[in-house]
Amino acid sequence: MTSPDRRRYHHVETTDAQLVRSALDGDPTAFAVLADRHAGACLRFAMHMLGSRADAEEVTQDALLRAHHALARYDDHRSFRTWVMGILINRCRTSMLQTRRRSARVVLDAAAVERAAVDSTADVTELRDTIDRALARLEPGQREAFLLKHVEALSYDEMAAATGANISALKMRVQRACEQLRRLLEDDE
Amino acid sequence: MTDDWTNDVHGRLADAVRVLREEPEISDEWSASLHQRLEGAGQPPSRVQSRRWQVHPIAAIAACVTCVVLGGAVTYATMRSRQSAAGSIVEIASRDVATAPTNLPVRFSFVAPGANHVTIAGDFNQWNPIALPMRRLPDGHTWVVDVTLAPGRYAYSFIVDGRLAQDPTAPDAGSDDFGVRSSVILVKGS
Repeated sequence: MTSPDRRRYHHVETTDAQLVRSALDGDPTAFAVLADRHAGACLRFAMHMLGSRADAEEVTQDALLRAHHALARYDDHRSFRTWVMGILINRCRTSMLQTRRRSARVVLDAAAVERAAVDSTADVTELRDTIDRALARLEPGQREAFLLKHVEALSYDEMAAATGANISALKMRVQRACEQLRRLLEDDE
Repeated sequence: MTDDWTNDVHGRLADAVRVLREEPEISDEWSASLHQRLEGAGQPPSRVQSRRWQVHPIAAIAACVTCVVLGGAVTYATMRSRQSAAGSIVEIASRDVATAPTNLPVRFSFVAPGANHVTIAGDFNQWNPIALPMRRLPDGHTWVVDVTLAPGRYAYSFIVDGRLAQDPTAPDAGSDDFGVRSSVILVKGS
């Protein structure tokens, strides 16, 4: 049985906590299943934060590898997704500091562009561009809070655990991000 | 995890959230690269340091019983000690302590709740029942008196409201000629 086959062998209903235990007990495929399960959301968050598919892929792989290495420190009272998101958030922050691409934040996702060109009307494509431009204009802390709350659907408790910020500050950032996005989207209409 | 975003965002912002929630397609190459790196990283370090203690229920019960028994024994011993002290306490600075051959300070104390007048009489004051009145401490039930004694052996008794009371914490001196039991203190010199 190949590695992908072994990964598929894990039942989809196996919980993250069970997979973590299996990985720590020596099951080499358990963490691969976890990575597959959360890679999409991680990549989505990183793309929206960094505005670059290539950078997002890099930090997502890096975050998942770091999670793998630090798995023994995972506290299973927390959601695994929140824990991984915390690692990813730090990697995104570091990446933004290193590349200084905030001012030129453009989603360079060739697949998305192709998909938009093929299956979308001009309205949808325009909406994506508008959203990207609006997100790019948000202050990084507000963008991060908005994405965690409304795109990754984390609770404020989970956001606080993942970001290290307090809940009041996060609520304020989300509120300001929503106000600004609403204004930017309306201006773009 | 809450997913109540439709309550908070409306209109064009809600459309934006729907678009943002679309998961990006993951290429086979990227996925293969990720799994190759994970396999190369090997086994994650074990959870030796962070593993929580797991105690078998029987062991936990045995530990609880042991704690209760030990705690009870300590409590019983303490209560016994206090009960003895309720009879009397003799704090003898010089007892069993090598000191100078001159007179030595000795404090007698006696716990007598409810007493109105306590004195001490013994060989050191010719058994005078009124010569050494004891004073009551602020706690209201402990009576003390400080005396100086030359090294030697002394028999004594407390007199509580006119009645002789033996010191339960000191050795028994036996009955005197009048059939009264008394206590004994040995004051050692150097």
